[in-house]
Amino acid sequence: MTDGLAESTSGARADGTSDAPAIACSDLSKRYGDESVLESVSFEVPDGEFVALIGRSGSGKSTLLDVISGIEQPDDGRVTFPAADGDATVGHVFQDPRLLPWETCLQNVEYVHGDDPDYDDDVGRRYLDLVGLGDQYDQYPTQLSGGQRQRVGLARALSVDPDVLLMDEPFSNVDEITADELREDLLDLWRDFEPTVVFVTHDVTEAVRMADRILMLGDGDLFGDVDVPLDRPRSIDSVEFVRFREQVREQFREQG
Amino acid sequence: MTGIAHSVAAAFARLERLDGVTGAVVPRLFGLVLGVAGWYGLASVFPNRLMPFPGETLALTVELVATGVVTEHLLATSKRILLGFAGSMVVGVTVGTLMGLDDYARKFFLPYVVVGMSVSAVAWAAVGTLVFGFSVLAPVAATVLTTFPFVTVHVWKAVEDVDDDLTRMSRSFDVSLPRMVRRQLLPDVTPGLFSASRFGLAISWKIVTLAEMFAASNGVGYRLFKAYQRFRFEEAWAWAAVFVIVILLIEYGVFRPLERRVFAYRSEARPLA
Repeated sequence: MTDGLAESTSGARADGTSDAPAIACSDLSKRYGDESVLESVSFEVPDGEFVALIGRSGSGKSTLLDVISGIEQPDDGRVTFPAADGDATVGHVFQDPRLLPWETCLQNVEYVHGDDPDYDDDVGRRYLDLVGLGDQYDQYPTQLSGGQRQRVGLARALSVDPDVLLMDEPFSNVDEITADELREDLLDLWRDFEPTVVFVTHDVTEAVRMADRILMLGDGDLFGDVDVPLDRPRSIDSVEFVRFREQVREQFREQG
Repeated sequence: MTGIAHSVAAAFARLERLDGVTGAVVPRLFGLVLGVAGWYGLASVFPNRLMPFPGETLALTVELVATGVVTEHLLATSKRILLGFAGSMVVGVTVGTLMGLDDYARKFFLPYVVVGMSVSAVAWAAVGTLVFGFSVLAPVAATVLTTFPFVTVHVWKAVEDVDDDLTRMSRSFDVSLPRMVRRQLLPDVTPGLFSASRFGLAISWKIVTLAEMFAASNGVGYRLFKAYQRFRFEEAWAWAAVFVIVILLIEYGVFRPLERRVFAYRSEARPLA
């Protein structure tokens, strides 16, 4: 849950959704010592959009996500959450699920709720059910497979009812079959809960398959911003999919 | 020789494959039997007044316990150990935590810790006796000064090795500091605290017993040394046996059950197929 610095720029649409962006990053810069990791990065993400952020290793993707979540403070620029009037709830799913190994699945979900009076174990169980871990409430992380641990991480992030869901290469540490299942489950959950998603990946196929829009990051700078013109559900074998993926790859090769 | 080594290794491998109670009991029993057999062997070689047989030592130990003298001196030693151990834990945990958290504190305390680890326990015991005389403070001070550097190092490393990824996760979900300390940080350093406690207590036993030899008028160390001075070696062995029995009782009666309880999440983990 991150306090943003937003001006109240939101305007409500007739259907109740906001036309103000969910995330607005302006001129974000971040340095570690002499090394510049982000350089004047600016972009907006509309409310409810699924954005993929792609880039090579070390391009600053994870740092950008950490800055958005508030784990890291930018040296310059700022992150705001206009659609939530500046006070957005942020859920974070990490590459390694980062579960407390000494706590059960249910306790791991409960951990991030603090003194929330609306939370009880039924809430935790409901989210674990949603990610397909209905019979694993009392298991410790060490008793789960990599895919199951990632599901606990996803349940934990969803359980805070996030306005913004940040995902840092969440399926890169699991086998391909499990990753495919997790991708489908994530898209179902996104459709049901409609959070704004920023999904970091270095896999162009995954980005095209999952996202409404793709941001390309290279050497700390955004050099590409393309909408994905494909209907859902998407088949990665379709001619349109392959053609668009190659266009993205081409742009990446040229500029990234 | 290689053939014998292979046979022993194969025997141990077979023992490791044994399940449940058998697998847990047999190796310990095997170690005990081997130890007692070794004692018998040595006792057969050395004169009996220098090294009695295990049965004789055990009989004398039981006799000493029955007279009540063991209880009296064990209580005196235990009091010193507990005070010394508590003092070294307080100092060691505080200094170790500061060293793990802060670079300035690490640089400030490191020379003291290094020196503390290098100075002989006998030297501290002698200094303690000179300063405090035959009061309880002499062995306690010697114990604290000898033990705290080792506790400090364990705690320092445990705090330094706290999983930064978990801390970042907690911060990303805005978990409050007290909750983070209670649910994330403390459990993370618990293994370090455990080994610090176990190590600290073991050293405290040794130092107190040593200090009692010349800085006390009662206690297990005092009695052991008195027996040695009077050439009553069988009694010295009996007091050493008391020492060993108490250490084993603490290890298997306190530390192991506590460890099983605290680290239940590890033992319940099962390898995935």
